[in-house]
Amino acid sequence: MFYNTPDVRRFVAATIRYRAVIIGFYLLLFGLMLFFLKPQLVSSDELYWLNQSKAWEKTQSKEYSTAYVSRLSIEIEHFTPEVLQKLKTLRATLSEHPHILEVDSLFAFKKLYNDIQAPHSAMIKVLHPASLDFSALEPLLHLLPSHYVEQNEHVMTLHFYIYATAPVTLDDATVNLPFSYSQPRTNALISDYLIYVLAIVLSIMLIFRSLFKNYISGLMGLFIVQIVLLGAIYANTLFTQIHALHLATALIVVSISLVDYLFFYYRWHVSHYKANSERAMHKAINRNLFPAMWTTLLTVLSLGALLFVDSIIVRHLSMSVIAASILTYVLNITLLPAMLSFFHVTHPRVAFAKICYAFAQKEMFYNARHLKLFLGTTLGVLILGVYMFQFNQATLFTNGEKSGAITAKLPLYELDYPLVQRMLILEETLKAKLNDSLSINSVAHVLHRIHEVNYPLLPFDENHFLEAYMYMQLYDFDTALIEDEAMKLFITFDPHRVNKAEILGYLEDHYEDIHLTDVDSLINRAKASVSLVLMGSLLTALLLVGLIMSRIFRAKEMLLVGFMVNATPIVWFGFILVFLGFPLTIEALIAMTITLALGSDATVHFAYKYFRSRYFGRSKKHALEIMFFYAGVPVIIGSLILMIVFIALTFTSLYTLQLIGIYGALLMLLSLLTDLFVLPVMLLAFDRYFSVSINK
Amino acid sequence: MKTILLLFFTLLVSFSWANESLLDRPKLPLEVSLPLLQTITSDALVLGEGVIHAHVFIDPLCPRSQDFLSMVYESPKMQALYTYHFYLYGLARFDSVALIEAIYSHTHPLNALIDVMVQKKELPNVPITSDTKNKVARIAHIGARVDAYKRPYLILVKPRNP
Repeated sequence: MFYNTPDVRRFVAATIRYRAVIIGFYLLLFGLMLFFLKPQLVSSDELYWLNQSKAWEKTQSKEYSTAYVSRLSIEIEHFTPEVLQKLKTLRATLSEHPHILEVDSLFAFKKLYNDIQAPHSAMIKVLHPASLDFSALEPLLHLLPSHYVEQNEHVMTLHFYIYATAPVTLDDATVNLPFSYSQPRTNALISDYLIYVLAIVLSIMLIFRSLFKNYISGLMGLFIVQIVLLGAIYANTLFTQIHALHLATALIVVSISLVDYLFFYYRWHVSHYKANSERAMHKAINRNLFPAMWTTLLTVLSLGALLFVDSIIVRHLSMSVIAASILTYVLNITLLPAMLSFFHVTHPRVAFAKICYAFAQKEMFYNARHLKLFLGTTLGVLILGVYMFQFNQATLFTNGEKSGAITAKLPLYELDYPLVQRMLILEETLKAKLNDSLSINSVAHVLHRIHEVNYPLLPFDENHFLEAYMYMQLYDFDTALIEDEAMKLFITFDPHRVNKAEILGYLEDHYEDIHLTDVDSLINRAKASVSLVLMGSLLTALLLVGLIMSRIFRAKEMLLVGFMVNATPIVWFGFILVFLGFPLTIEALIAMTITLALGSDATVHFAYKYFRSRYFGRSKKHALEIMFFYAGVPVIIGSLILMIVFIALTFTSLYTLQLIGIYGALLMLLSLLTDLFVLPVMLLAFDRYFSVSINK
Repeated sequence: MKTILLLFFTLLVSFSWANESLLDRPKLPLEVSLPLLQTITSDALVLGEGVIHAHVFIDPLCPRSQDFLSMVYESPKMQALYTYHFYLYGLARFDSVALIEAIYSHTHPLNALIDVMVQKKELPNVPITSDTKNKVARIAHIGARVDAYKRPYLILVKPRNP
């Protein structure tokens, strides 16, 4: 690492001289991008995932229609004629909804029975619960399948599966009974966007105002963040052909640009304590020029390889991070000085300085054994995580869906006994493997039911298949279960006890000819495949960060520092999730990517400040103080703002954003703790400037 | 004593036989029943023109047989998918032999069958010939051989793909 201070006086003078031109240029660029790009923020990730879903391609190739599936669960304490009337009204209302294709519930169910009129006179008959009155239906309820009617001690839950062409929202007035509803993924509401934007704007403005005692720091930060956001959208449009930026991806861009901006602004601000504005400007540039350049290079090199991964989402994410990093760097050394040159700081003092000195004092006397123990444990947890990821992936990942339903189609060239047998084996296997509550409603299932009613004690074999098949056609089961020359499969299960990802993984591995037709399952498969790529990419990026860092600082120990400091929050975050029983999701992986991007920035800035001080002969303690003061404070401020933004996301109505909010806030906290407590101690442990006395 | 024991044992066996569920009797394999059915195919009343052949033993007075015929008769879909070969084979409890013979003696036995079982009409009296009696006896004989123990009793035959 080159620690000498670059001479930026001419550069700063030129920037100040042409500041109007520079600001004008960026304003023009901003306007042009706004005019030509028509930037879009989207909240639904459906299009992203479906675009690259192999399962979706497979379904599309057969021209099978797809649907959104949701589950409406109605809780009933006492089943009365009034309740039945309300249920029938609800069923009628749902059936008339323009988006709803089909409602599967106890009312759509056909109860089979063997109508034995007299000895030797018997025939399979069908009973329609929808046509029954209260007195006939009530005793029948406990005989219906549990995925329609669930009986608990005091409450009976009736499940309605809604298949629709678009996500359907339900309110109290429509349902008119106590209910819970697993809504399929929907677009965010206007209020969600407002929460999102307000959280960013308010947290930046309020925290900057309270810390820096001015509004201009916040306004400039917001301006830079906006240009970077637009630039990232533009870069993505060019590179990935996606014209909109997802809210979560936008958050990555905001996070990176904000924290990188802070390093420059903060240095300019606090430098006013002992210097004039011009000198402060010199310091802001010359102290950050190299570390910021290295962080940008580090981001480009570690995530650059992901731009060539065969996944549009991974390319989109990595492009956003890279674009944000490069653009913020360019803006920080051109636009920011031009804007700052108009202002002067009258209150250069910033809170946290005392805390920094306290940290430095405490961490000087760290316990080497404890450090080794912590690093060893972290490494152990990481290896365990990699092992679980490799061998137990399905249990780690889920998309948190609650509908408890999967729909699929199987091309039907000829409905024969072997095919039916194959489907029955699938149901039996899934039941044995996952949970008995699982059921697969299909032609095969109906044929088996008919046979069981017709010949309860005889095996279902080829000899009985055609008879069951004839009854199935006689009672018109086939019109609902065979469509587009394909067998429809309706898989229902208890979402609290069965991991949907496991079912989908099993189907994908063992039944290649099954085509998923519900949007949520298609997204789930796309996420599962991207999760693999993203997790692998994260690990590779971690290793690359370590490698590049050892190259930058010309010290092989920095490989371990770079790797461990960035891996620590991710490893412990994963551990906390799995330990508390929360499954990992793609949202968690996105939050991890943000942390990696920010964590590597912080590591370079911390290490640069520390080693530069040591290079110029400062004692370990003094180097730590300088490091904390000039790098620690911006990281603390940035992390605080981002934690507030992430927490605000949990108040949106969109599940995906809520998850990113919770995960992001937790990861930010872990990342901050690692930067404040682990990174400095590791730098001390690997300090190569032994010749300089501590007390010097 | 021996006589009492023998009687008791005989009663026990017949009781078990009587209670054997009509739902649990296995069907004869098609390889056995199909050659038997082929001997009475010309005696069948044929409805529908589907690819799959449904050989159905029915009793014109059996309510379930009536239900079955009504559903099939009223369903163009089921007639397009199946060719039904109806064999009239009476159950002892309905005492329907006379009616069966009357249906077979009709100029259009299928129409007569539908009139009786679907439309619930009464048939005009017609003289019963020995041919008809032989036909009914032949069907009953094969019905017993294929073990058509309930009505309607179905044997389905799907032609093999070429």
